Amino acid sequence: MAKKYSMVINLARCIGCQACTVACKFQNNVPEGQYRTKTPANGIKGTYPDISTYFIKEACQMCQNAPCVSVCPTKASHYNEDGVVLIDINKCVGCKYCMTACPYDARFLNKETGAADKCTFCYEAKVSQGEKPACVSTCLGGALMFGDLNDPASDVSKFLANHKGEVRKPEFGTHPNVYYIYEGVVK
Amino acid sequence: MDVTWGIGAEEIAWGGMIAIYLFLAGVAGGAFLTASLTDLFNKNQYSKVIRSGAYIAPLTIIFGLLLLVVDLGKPFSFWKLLLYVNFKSVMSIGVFIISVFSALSVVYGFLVWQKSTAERKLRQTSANAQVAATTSSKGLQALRKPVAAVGVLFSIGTATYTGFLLSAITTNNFWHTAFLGLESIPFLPILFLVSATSTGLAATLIGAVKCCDLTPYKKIDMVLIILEIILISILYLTADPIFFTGSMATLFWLGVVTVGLIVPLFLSIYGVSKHKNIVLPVCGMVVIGGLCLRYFVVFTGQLF
Amino acid sequence: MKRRNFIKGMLYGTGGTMALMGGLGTFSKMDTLKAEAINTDTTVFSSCEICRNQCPIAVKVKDGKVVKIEGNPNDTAFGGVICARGNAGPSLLYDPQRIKKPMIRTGERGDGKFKEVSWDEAYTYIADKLYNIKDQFGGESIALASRKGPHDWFFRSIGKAMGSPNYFSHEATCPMTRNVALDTTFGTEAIAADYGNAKYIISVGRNWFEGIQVAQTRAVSKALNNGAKLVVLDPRFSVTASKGEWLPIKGASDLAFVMAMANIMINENLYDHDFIAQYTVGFDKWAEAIKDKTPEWAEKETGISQDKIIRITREFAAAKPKAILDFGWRTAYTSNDYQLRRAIMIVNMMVGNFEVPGGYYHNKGAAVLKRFPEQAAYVKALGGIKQPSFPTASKGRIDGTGVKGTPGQIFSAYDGAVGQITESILTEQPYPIKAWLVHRFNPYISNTDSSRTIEAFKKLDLLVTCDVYMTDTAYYSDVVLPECTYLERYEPIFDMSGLTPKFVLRQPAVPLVYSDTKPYWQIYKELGEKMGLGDYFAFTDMEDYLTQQLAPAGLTLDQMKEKGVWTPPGMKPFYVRANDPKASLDNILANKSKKIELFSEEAEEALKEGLPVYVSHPQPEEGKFRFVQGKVAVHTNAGTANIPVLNELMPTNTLWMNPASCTKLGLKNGDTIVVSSGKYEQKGQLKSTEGIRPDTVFCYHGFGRISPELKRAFGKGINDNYLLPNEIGVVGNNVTSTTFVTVRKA
Ligand SMILES: Nc1nc2c(c(=O)[nH]1)N[C@H]1C(S)=C(S)[C@@H](COP(=O)(O)OP(=O)(O)OC[C@H]3O[C@@H](n4cnc5c(=O)[nH]c(N)nc54)[C@H](O)[C@@H]3O)O[C@H]1N2
Ligand SMILES: Nc1nc2c(c(=O)[nH]1)N[C@H]1C(S)=C(S)[C@@H](COP(=O)(O)OP(=O)(O)OC[C@H]3O[C@@H](n4cnc5c(=O)[nH]c(N)nc54)[C@H](O)[C@@H]3O)O[C@H]1N2
Ligand code: SF4
Ligand code: SF4
Ligand code: SF4
Ligand code: SF4
Ligand code: SF4
Ligand SMILES: [Mo]
Repeated sequence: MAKKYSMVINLARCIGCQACTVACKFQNNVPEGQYRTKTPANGIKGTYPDISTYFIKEACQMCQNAPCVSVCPTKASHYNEDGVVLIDINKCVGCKYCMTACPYDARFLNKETGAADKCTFCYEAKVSQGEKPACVSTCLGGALMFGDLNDPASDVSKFLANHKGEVRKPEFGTHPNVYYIYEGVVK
Repeated sequence: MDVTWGIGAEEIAWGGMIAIYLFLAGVAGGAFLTASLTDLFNKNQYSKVIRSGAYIAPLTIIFGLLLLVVDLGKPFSFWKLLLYVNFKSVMSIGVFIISVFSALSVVYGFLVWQKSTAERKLRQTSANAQVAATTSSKGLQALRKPVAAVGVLFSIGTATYTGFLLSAITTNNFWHTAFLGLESIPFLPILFLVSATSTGLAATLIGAVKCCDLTPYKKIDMVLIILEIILISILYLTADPIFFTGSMATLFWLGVVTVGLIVPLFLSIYGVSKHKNIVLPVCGMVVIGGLCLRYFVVFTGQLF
Repeated sequence: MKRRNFIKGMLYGTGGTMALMGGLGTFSKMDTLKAEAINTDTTVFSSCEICRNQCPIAVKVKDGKVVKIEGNPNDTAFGGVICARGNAGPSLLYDPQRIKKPMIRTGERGDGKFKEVSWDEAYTYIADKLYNIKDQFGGESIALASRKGPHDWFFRSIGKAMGSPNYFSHEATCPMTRNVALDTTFGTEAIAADYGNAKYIISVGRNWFEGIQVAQTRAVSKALNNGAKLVVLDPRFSVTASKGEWLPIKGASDLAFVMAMANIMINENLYDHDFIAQYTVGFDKWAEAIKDKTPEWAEKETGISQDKIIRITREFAAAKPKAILDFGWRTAYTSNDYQLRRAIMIVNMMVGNFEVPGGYYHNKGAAVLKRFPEQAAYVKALGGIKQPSFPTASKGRIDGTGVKGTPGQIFSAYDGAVGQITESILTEQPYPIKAWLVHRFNPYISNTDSSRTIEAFKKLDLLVTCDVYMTDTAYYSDVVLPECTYLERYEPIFDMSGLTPKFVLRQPAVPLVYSDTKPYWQIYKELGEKMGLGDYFAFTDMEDYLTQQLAPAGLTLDQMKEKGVWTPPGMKPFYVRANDPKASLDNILANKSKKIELFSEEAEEALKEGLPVYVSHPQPEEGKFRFVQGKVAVHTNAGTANIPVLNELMPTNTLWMNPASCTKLGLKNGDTIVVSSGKYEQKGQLKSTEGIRPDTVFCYHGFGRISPELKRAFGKGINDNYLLPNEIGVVGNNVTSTTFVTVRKA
């Protein structure tokens, strides 16, 4: 049965340590100055001394209805057999149309290949080998979970079963496969 | 700034190159329309206009495509755009429309040139030479009007495509603006078609200044300007105010509205009624306004 | 919404031209470069050294190149996790800005003129200088300073053999006050906290989520996940504070908070009588001492409302014994943090959270376990390499450690007051220091009063620095020795015992990247041999050393290489009092009294302060700010500002200031400002944030580098220590939170 890979991000546990950011760079040879993921603070809310903040990991949201895929003139952007949105860098001409279409600023033009680039869920090197994505396995705060939503026994299925997972910018109908848990943080 | 407490500015995907490309494609479309329609429905008194338009179209579209290719992350793989096709992608379809249009505009440009040189010869040389000249070009010249006719469709296609390219981005609140809120009718294609025709026409007239009396064209141009003013007002009323007050405000109010529409409108009213040769300033401003419009739309869509 | 603030310049076509250049640029590279995800070849188990936590790592090597570093999954406490800095290891390994050859200074000190020399020339130069200095001024005029670690055995042998008593670790800039507090209370430093099982954790400035120690950080996260409550005392809104209840305490007033806790616990009878009775001495004196340390009083001192202090104390006591009042880690805030750390441990003992899950425990290394018959079988101690005895120094240490009846009586001569080195160089008291050997340490950035440190450098006859970069200190040195990185060398086994024994290996993952760099063991062995001190280095190479070290523990090098870490199979975490709350602690407590000394005889002898005494440190008057500092998750102290990937993530620091104070001063976010201590100034960038007390300013530590060879970090940001006086605290510790500054627009 086809997989439905998904990442769940428990914001209350994210400490903005950027271990994910760096692990991703090395796992995927992301060029200097470019990132597939970053985890900045979501600003500070309130006024001293009653304030709060949380860190939010930004990367491709793995939309099941992905604008980047539908607009891509060469079909370089595509869904693979497990519903993961990937880019075939040989087909990609670097027209950046997908970048204008992505509502999450998840894509960039790879300085070295000239092709569009983004989070791949580490599909080729890790997930397809039965391992966790690089960012997930190094997550210091223990905020990241990854797995197959079609498998009720997976961490992500179990976690989402008793926590409220929310997707970003649902108004665009992109149906992301990345879920954020806001329990314990001030949204 | 650091990665944890906030990140510096991001670059936007589509910059000036694309704006200019969209603008040039528009001019090309408009110029071709001007020339071909004149050619089809008018006696030869406007041959200078036909020539101007027929030459401007291929030049601008080719230069525009050049910019497009250079803007690619992989300029030397541009041909893959023709190899791999995605009919769901406006860009993929557009690539074909524009290719055909470019081809037609080149052919048409050549035919017009051939015709005009033939005619020039005809004016200088003796009767039998004249016969020779005309007969020699008869074969090809027979194609001119058909090419013009088909070209009309593709030039309209090209002009509107530049709008569809952006309006197809459903996740972009500005580009995706609907016409009078009618989801099914995207706004930009209409706006860009009008703007293209008026800028194309204007450019053509610039190329044909020292020709006969251009009053009818100037009248058309005026109508187009008025149309565009109406469209821009609709946009202003339907779209989010931030678009017109943010970092792009100056470009919009000064470039698009003032230089591109208001001033030329008054000037041309004045020009048509009284003054004869006020073509250059008006058309010049219309062209600049068209360029500003593309810049405004391309950037605004990505900044807010 | 970041898109809004784009580069204006792009507007009129620059966007296009930039893309144009980009577009053509790619052509030249196109075929050679591909963003294929890496599929790694071999895995080498070792340990990280981007900071001194030495987390176990799994180094992924492909075609002889380190392509990625992951946590070592064989260590459950670390669970295959490492921090951002650890992940950045390859970026250091392959940094072309590393130092690649030994260098000898040719120009004036500090103008950065060096000539590359052979190792032999470097050794000869150092040897001659050292012997000259020894003859002229005596061996004691040679000082050594390093970041505490296994290299010390090798590094210090040189100094000891020259008859110098003056070797120092960096500890006085780090956990000195905590260690001495533990020593004088329990008779041992080897005490840690079991955060993972705690139900209530109070941080007195401890910042687990930025001042990262992977096992601890994960343990605290685990506790929070299990519903533990976290309270954080910190004048600024640290990441840790953002994960709990933030109490923006007035800097330097923590002792008042802690004493008030004790006061409340006694008045409300919330403490563990049995524990106090069975295991401690001096409780009555303590009760007496804090009689008047009421919540009302503490509110005035700390700025935290008494209701909060009372509520939190009650919650804390209710969670006993799984309640931890954290004893802190890094550099002291005030001169007498020693007594703060003591008071903290006393309050902890009042909830009896010792040797139980969710409390404090003594590390269970071989040395301890052998005293417990039922545990002894699990592990045998590591061995060492025999060394001939060193000549006894003719003079005492410059920091006076070991002198009875003085503070020097209680702080360890192994660590010492490293801040004293610059003082003795400049004042020649108690006697002059003429040579300074520096290993894996950067006093310019790490010790207080940077410009005084430079003065001291200039007065030296010999300054030798062994590092991986041309640091600010190296830049002023006579000889610079390029060490290879941790990914290219062996080191002695690390004993990282916690609730069970643990040995961790460091081994080369790849051969030397720069062929003329060397590991420290080889550098000091060869230098020693050059100086005729070869006998002190009785091993052929590191395989030999490790084999000798492991043999007594019944382990082999190959065994260690297999998993990278070793813990006794089948042994469960060992808490002495887990099952029997009355179990004896005699095997744990290492002091004569065999009691937990709430009243410390030693402290009484040394300081005439057997119990913590409150000193009310001044608070900044209007217009001045207390200047505090902290760690950031993506950098290590003085170590990483120039490491490409980390520099990219955070090239500089900023000065945090509360918006209210900004308005008062007419400053706004992003302004270039000057921070002034009156004596010294630093230029920097202002960050306006609600996350700090209005009377306090803050910056992340480790920036403001002056070595131009650190090309990425040079001249960026504020060097905190440039603004702080070189005050030496009660137990030899540095002091970092009692300086007031003014801030103005540059
Ligand atoms: N004002 C203020 N001062 C502080 C602090 C503060 O918070 N505020 N923090 C204090 C604390 S807690 C500490 S621990 C100290 C830390 O002070 P240091 O120990 O000086 O800092 P480190 O970051 O450990 O780096 C020391 C040097 O080791 C070098 N190095 C790294 N790897 C290697 C290696 O493999 N071999 C060799 N030879 N060198 C290597 C680095 O390049 C760096 O120059 O700073 C203290 N200073
Ligand atoms: N990422 C990263 N991790 C590290 C290190 C690193 O450099 N980078 N260094 C390692 C080392 S050597 C050490 S020692 C540990 C240090 O780990 P921590 O001891 O947690 O060190 P800091 O992050 O400096 O946290 C000190 C906090 O104390 C606050 N503070 C300052 N003055 C006062 C005061 O008077 N009262 C109170 N209550 N708070 C005050 C500061 O604002 C700061 O947030 O981290 C270790 N881990
Ligand atoms: S987040 Fe962006 S890049 Fe990722 S799938 Fe959705 S649209 Fe595509
Ligand atoms: S840049 Fe590449 S992936 Fe993106 S739309 Fe163009 S061809 Fe497709
Ligand atoms: S899943 Fe892989 S590619 Fe995506 S952010 Fe994590 S590490 Fe990067
Ligand atoms: S590694 Fe985990 S905790 Fe750290 S920033 Fe990334 S998601 Fe957050
Ligand atoms: S805490 Fe991070 S940098 Fe320090 S040793 Fe562990 S992984 Fe390396
Ligand atoms: Mo430290």
